[in-house]
Amino acid sequence: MKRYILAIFILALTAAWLILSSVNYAGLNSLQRLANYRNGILAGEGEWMPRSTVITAKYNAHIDIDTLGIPHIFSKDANGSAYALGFMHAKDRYFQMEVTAYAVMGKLGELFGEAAVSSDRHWRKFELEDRAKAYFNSLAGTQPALYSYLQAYEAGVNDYIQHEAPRRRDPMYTIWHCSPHPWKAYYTFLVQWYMSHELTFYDDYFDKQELLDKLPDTIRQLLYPSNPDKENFIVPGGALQPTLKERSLARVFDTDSRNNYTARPFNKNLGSNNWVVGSAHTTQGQLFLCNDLHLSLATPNIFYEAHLSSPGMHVYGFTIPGVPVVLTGHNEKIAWGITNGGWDVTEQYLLKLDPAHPDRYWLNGKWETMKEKKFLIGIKGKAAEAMTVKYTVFGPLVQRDSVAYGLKWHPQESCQAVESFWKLMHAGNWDDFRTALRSYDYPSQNFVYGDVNGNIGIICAGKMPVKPAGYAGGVLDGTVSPHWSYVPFDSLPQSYNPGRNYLFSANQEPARNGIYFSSRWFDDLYRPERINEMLSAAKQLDREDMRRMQLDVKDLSVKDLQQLIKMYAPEKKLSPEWALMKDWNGDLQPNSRPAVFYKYIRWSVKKVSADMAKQLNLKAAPGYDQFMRFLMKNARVEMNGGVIESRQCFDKIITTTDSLFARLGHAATPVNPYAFNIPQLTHLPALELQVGDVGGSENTINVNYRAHPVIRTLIEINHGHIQSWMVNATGQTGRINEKNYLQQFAAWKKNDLHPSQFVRQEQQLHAIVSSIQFVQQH
Amino acid sequence: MLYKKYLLVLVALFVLHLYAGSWVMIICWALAGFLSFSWLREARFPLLNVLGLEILIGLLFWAFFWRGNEHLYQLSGRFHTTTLPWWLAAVAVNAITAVLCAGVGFHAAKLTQVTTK
Repeated sequence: MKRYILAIFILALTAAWLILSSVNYAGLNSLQRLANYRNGILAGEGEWMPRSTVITAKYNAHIDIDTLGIPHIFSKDANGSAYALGFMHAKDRYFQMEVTAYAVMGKLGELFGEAAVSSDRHWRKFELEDRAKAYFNSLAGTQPALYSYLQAYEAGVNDYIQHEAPRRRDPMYTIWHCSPHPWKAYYTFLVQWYMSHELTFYDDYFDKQELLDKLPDTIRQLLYPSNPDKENFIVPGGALQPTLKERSLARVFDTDSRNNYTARPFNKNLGSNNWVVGSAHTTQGQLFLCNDLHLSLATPNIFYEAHLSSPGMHVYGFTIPGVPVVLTGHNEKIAWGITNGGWDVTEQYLLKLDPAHPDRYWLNGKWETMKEKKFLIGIKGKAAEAMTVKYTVFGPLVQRDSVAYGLKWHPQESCQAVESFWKLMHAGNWDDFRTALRSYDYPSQNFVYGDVNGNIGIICAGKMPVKPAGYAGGVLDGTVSPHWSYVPFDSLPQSYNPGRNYLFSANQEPARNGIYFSSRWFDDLYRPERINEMLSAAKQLDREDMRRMQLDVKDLSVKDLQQLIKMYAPEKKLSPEWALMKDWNGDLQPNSRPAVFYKYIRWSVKKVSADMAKQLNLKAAPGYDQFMRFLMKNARVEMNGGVIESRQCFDKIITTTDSLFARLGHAATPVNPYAFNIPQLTHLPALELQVGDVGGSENTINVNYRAHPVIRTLIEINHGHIQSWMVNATGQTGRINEKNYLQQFAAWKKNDLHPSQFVRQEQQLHAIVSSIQFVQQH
Repeated sequence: MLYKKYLLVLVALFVLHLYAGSWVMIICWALAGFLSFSWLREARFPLLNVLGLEILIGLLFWAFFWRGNEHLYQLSGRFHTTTLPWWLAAVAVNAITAVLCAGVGFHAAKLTQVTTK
C-alpha cells in the first residue's frame, strides 16, 4: 500500500511539474522548451553570414556591409536592389517586420496569444489585409515597375528566411515560441498603415466635444485655446479653406452631464523636426537639410539605414524594415526630410440607435440596418475567438460606455505613400518632387526639400478630408449620410524658395486656417519657436551649428515662466530654487539644478491644470502650452458659481512645486525627472534600457518626453555635391544576441553623427566587414 | 560493471540531449528510471544518480558548446546577467524533470517488479 501511495505521489508531483513547466505564460515559450538543449535558448547561435558569401538567387546584386551594419547595395537594376534590401531587412529585423505586419492584419494573437487579442479586435475591423492585397494587385497594371520592385523585395526577404537555419534565428522566435512565416509583398502597405495609426489615430473627440458643449466660446478660448497667439506656421500666410455644407455638427453634453467616455490613450507628442537652410544663412553658401524623427523609442528602432545604387536610382537614407524605400535621405540631386503632419483624419459620427433593434441606426430620416461581418481571431495555443463587427455607412460601429459612433479612419481607404516615396527616390528637381507627392496620402507629413541647385521648399502633403463649416474637433452628426471629399494637392500648404531662405516644421499647424489641426488644437508652441529663433539669427551657420541644434535642449517656456514670476510674484519671498529660475537660460541639462526644479514646475502646472478641469466638471485638462497661455493672460473666469484666476493658479503652482520638490527632490535618492526607459519591441521587462543622462522636454528641439528623436540626419549640399551624416538611436540590428545591438546608442546620445558612404563605386567604400554576392541562377 | 552501465546511460542521454526535443527527453528520462530499477539494480541511490548524470551532462554541454557561444554571452548581457544563471536555469529545469520522470519510471517498474537478470 505504501509503495502505491509513494508512486501516486511521485506521479502527481511529476504531472504538476510537467504541466507547470510546459505552460506558455503570456504567450512566452514554456520552461521545458526554453531549457531544451537542442531547441532552447542556449542552443541558439549568432549570425551565420561569413565574411564573404555567395548566394544563388533570382536577382543580381552585391552588398557591402560596413562596421555599423549599414548595407551598401549595388545592382544592375532597381529590382536587384530591392531583393538585396529585403535580404538585409530580414537578416537584421525580420521579427520586427513580422510583428508589425501581423499587428495590422489583426493576427498578432497567432504570435503572442491571449495578450494580443484586444489589439487584433481593434485592427481586424479595418480589413487592411484584404485592402493591401487588392492595392498591390492593382499596381501590376498602374505601376508595373513598383509592382516588380516589391515582388523582388519579397523574394529577398523569403530567401533569407529559407537560408537561415532555425538555431541561427532571432532569439525572439525562441522566446515567443513561434517561427518566421513567409513575407508577402503586400505586407509593405500594412507597415504604412501601422505608421498612419501611430501618427494619426486620435480618439479624444468626445473629450473635445465636452469642452465645446459645456464651455461658452469666450471661456473655452481662454482655457483651451484652439489657436496659438504666436504664429509660427509651417507656411506663413493662409491657404484655401474648403468646407462642407452637408454635414452638421453634433451636440452631446449638457452643462451638468458627466463624460463617461474612455478615450484610447495616444501619444500626442509623436512628431519630429526638419529644416532646410539656404545659402543666405550658411558660412560657405551651402545648403543644409536636417531631420530628426520623434517616435516612441524602442529596441530595435523602427528605422534602418541603407544605401541603394543601381542605374537610374542612387539613394541613401532611412528605410523602415518591411518598406523598401527611403523615407528620409537623399539621392544625387535632391534631399528630403519628413515630420508628422498630425492632421485630423479620424472622425467619430454620433449614432442614434434604435432601442428596439440595436442593429439599426437613424439615417436620413429612416432606420437603416447595419451590415454584419464575422471574423475569427486566432490565438496561439487556444481556440480561435469569433468576432462580429457591425458596419454603418461611416465605418465600423464602436460602442464605448454610453456612446455609440461610426468610426471613419480615413487612412484605411488608401495606401499610396509607398508609391510616392518610390517616385521621390527617382526625383531630380522640385517639379519631380511635387509630382511624387501629388499622390501621397497617409500619414500626412511635412516634406522639406533641398536640391543641388540651392533651391529649398516644403510641402505639407497628405489626403485631408474636408470638414464641415464650424467644425472644431468634436464628434460629427451620424444621422445624415457623409459626403467625403479631400483638399486638392494644389491647395495644400507649400512653399518654394521663400524670401527668408529657410523653412522648417516641428509639427506645428501648417497654415493659419485651422482645418488641418481642427481636432488637435495646438500642442507645442515652443519647439517651432525655438527652431525659428535659431535659424533666423543673423549668424552664418555651419555643419557643427546644425549638429548642435539637433541636440538643443533650451526650453523657451522658461521665458514665459520668468514673465509669470514678474507678473504674479515680484515681491514674494520665494524658495532658493524659484530664485534660480529668474535668471536661468532654460537649458534642460539633466544634471543641472534649475533644470531639475523646472521639471517639478512642469508637473505642477499639469496638476493644477487637471484640478481646474475637475472643478469645471470636464474630463480633458488644458495642455501645458495652453495652460501657460492662460496664465500669461492674467485672466479671470467665472463659471459654475466659482472663479478661476490666472494669478490664483500660479500661486497654486508655486506651492505645489515646493511641496513636490520637498518630497521628491530632497529625498535620499532624488528622483531624476529626465530619466526614461527604452522598452524592447515586445516589452520584455528585463530587456528595458534605462537612460538618465539625456535632458530636454516635450518643448525642446531634442525632445525628451514619451517620444525621442529615433534617428537624425544632416545633409549638406555644397556646390552641387551632396554629403550626409546620420545616426540611428539603437543601431541596425534588432537581434539581442548580436554584438552590434545598440551599437549607435552612445553616439546617438551625443549626436555623434557618422558620415554616410554615398559613393557610386564599390571600390570607394571603406570599413567594410563583410559582403554578399547574389548570383543569378540559370 | 555498474560504472560501465552508467557510462552507457550518460552517453545515451548526452546524445539524446543533442537531438531530442522536450517530450522525447521526458519519455527517455522515464525510461532511464525504469532501467534504474530493472537494469541498474545495484545502485543504492538510482534517482540521485540520474540527477548527477544531468548535472554532468550540463557541464559537458558547457564545456563543448556553450562556453564559446557568443550568442549566449550577448543574450545574457542584454538581460543584464552573466551566463551562469542561464546555465543554471537550463540545467535545473532539465535535472528536475529528469529526476521526476525517472522517479515515475522507477516506481512503475517497482510496482510491476520488472527486472532483468
